Amino acid sequence: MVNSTGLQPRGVAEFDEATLIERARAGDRDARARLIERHLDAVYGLALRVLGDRDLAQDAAQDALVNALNGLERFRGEASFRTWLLRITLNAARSVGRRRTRRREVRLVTDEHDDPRLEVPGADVELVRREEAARAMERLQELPPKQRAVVELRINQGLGYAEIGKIVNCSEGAARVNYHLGIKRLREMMQ
Amino acid sequence: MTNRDCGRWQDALPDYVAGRLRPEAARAVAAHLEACSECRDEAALVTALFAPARAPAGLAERVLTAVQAGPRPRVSHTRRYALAATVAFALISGSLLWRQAGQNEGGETVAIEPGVIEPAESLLRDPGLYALSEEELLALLEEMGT
Repeated sequence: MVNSTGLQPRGVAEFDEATLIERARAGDRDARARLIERHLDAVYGLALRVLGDRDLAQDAAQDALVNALNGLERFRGEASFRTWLLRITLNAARSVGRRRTRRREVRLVTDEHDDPRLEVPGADVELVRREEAARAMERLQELPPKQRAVVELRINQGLGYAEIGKIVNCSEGAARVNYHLGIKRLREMMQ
Repeated sequence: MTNRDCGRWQDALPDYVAGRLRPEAARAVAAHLEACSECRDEAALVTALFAPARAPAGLAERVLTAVQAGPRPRVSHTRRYALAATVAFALISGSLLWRQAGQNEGGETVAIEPGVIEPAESLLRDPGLYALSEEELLALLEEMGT
């Protein structure tokens, strides 16, 4: 069975990341596809929170991965590949944001299609939860880009402050302060 | 009720909400939340923000295609700034020429001085600009616009 990229599933799934990177560096299409598969959600998620727009986030995610996978000679292994890639993603998101007219539209990530959960008992609770989530995402777009990035990396990607600092180019302590300041501002805006 | 250690508990909230804590640590956070309204409020906000994104269908394939196509042609930084300076100088010179060709306070038409024309024309003839592809020119104009 072949997946949508034309690859046999599990072709190189057992390889560790260092091996995938080496192979991708040599131009191995399968290895590149696996790296994209592993990291695309994280890359897209960060771009989405920073830009607040799905279309722009897709552009930034593509730019970031093209830059990274065609510039693997620049990856020296001083940080994890994910950290290096997310730093590139942040830069790509900033470039996309500068190049295009910014649209402040924010849509729930759960709104892709009709959800049968909204048609059963307790659906009003789910609706309230979604509305609250939508409000929080809208308010998030009012934070400075760096705080948005830090909040996304901490909450949705579960990164520690040391790693976040490497991505947003600040100290671990500054990353922690940025996170708590961002959350504090969000709480004030949500009241 | 607030607790002096709330900073420590609030640091753990993202991992608690996301289910990333070990069971015993999660139970400790849950117990603290029962007693601390401040942290409960923050946990509610973190819960609202917890929405890991999934890349849209088809994006992975598009990205792979773009990766396989290779890096986009880029104008080198040095060349980009040199050409930006060229274009900017040409625009400024052109503006000066326009003023020179206007009228003075007495209403007399002022002739254009050849010395002002020559530098702008020579810069416009810079082969660097004509050697750029349309894509490179657009990238250069975008850069100047930011």
